Amino acid sequence: MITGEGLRKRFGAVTAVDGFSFAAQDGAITTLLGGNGSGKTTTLRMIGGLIKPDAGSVVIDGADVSQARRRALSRLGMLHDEFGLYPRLTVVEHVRFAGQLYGLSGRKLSTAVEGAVDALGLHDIRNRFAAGLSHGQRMKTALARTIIHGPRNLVLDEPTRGLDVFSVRVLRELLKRFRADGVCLLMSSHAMAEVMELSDRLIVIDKGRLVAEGAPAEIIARGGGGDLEAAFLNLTGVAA
Amino acid sequence: MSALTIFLKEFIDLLRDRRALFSGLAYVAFGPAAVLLTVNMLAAQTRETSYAPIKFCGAQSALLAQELTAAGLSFDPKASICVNVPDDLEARLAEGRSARVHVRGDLTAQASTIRKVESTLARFSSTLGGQRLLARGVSSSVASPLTVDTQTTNSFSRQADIIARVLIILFVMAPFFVAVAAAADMTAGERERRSLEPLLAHPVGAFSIVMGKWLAAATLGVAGTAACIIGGLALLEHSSLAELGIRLETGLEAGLTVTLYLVPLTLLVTALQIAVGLWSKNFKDAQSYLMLMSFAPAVLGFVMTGERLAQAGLWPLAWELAALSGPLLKSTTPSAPFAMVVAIELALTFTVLVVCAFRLRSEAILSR
Repeated sequence: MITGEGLRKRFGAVTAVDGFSFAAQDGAITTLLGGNGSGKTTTLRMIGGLIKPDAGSVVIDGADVSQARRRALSRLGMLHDEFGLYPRLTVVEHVRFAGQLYGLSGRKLSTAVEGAVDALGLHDIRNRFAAGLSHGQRMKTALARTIIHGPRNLVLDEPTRGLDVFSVRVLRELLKRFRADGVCLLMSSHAMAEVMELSDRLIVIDKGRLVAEGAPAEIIARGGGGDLEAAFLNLTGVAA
Repeated sequence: MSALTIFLKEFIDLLRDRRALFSGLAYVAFGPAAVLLTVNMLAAQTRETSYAPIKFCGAQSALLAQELTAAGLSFDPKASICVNVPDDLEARLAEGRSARVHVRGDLTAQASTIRKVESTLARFSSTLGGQRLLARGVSSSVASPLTVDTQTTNSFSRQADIIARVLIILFVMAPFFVAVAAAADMTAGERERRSLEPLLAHPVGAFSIVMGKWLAAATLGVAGTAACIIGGLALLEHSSLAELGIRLETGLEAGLTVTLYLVPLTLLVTALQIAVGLWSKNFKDAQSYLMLMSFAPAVLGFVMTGERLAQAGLWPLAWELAALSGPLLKSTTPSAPFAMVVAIELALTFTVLVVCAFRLRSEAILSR
């Protein structure tokens, strides 16, 4: 479970996140929905321990990210929006490297690597260098790296961006499987169809503040009915 | 453990990085080769060889031809060095008048022949002048109040000093050049390709990340520096340094001693390169700053010489520039104890790495 309490973050004169609180439950897909500059990425970076909140705290399975960083991050898997692969490492080397950074070694590491390669269907490309991979293959490699240690919490920053329909399908099925296994999934997205298909709960964020929270149907109702896009625009005041 | 994991990943990545490897190996291979070529070229110019042929352009002079031939010079109508005398040269000389003689040629390529022509003509002129004075009842010593007699103990001393200094600078520059692209790629390059963010999101300490990266770059730095020195000395064994008055120790013992002297500096320089890379916006920026930094030994090596270098004592870089003349040139110039230099440079390396770890934990490193 991932919770954020009273999160506040300023960059110079700009307030990126302003007293934002949320909770992402185990066994559910929670989606952060917000426009560009709404504070989504800053929030996700605070969850990943990449930036420290000026005020408030992020807790992952009881471990405060600021105070018990290593314990918190060892419970978390984070898929970054640009994947950040090394062009001269192969797919399997990426997965193995991530496993080692999570403290796996020996037989445990080998089993975990094979498990992640299996889960993402990476057998055919396991020895290919990242430089030659397609966008979808890059996403799968990055995701395999993210799940290598069997995290109970997954954070995904716009995971479907730039993916073809086949890759989206693979990702969707995988996320559903994780949810069924009781994993806490928190993702950010712009793709309304994906959000409706996958999300159990939505957190609408605008200008760093919580605007609305609830199941997709509740958000649509609170936003004046219609579809999620119209409700989102109404709730964030863009429609006006 | 995490540092070792990162070191192994970075090292594998580095071995596959043709750009970084070529950049490192280029200095190892071409640095000593360039010095070898320069030394041999200089020696060839200095070497006593037969003079290039000369010719008269325009009027001929049997008198001067006789003098020049007697001095060991030869005449050839196709020669490029040309002696131009006036048509009435011999008549003017016979009448006790003066005459202007022009010598034309490429002073850079045929300097020794031209100097020989000049000195032969000057000696002939002086002899003729003395005879004229004697014919008028005046001693030739009246026209030459001073007789200068120069005895050089070592005609190559200055040239040899400069070449020896260049050699030492070449070896001290190796740690700066060998790992430059590797250090830039694993810091600024990592940031540029957006792989730093996922790396920092792992439960790994910033110091472990810095240590792993530094170890990989330093391994290349030490290996490349050793190859540059030992290979370079083996190459220079076939050079003409001795003809220029330089007695260079080229054996394995000298090579290993010089390498050992440069190991602490290599570790420090690599740490500084990692730091510069972490503060640079992208790979190109890092490479530009690091290339500028690489010329520090050359600047210091030419600005600080002799006593000033010896007084620099324990300062990194200055110590190496002074101390390397020991194993390479058998110089007895005193320098500070190696153990103290090792302690100072390792302490500085550790400090730089700690600063790098702080940088890695700062939010600014993630800004685009």
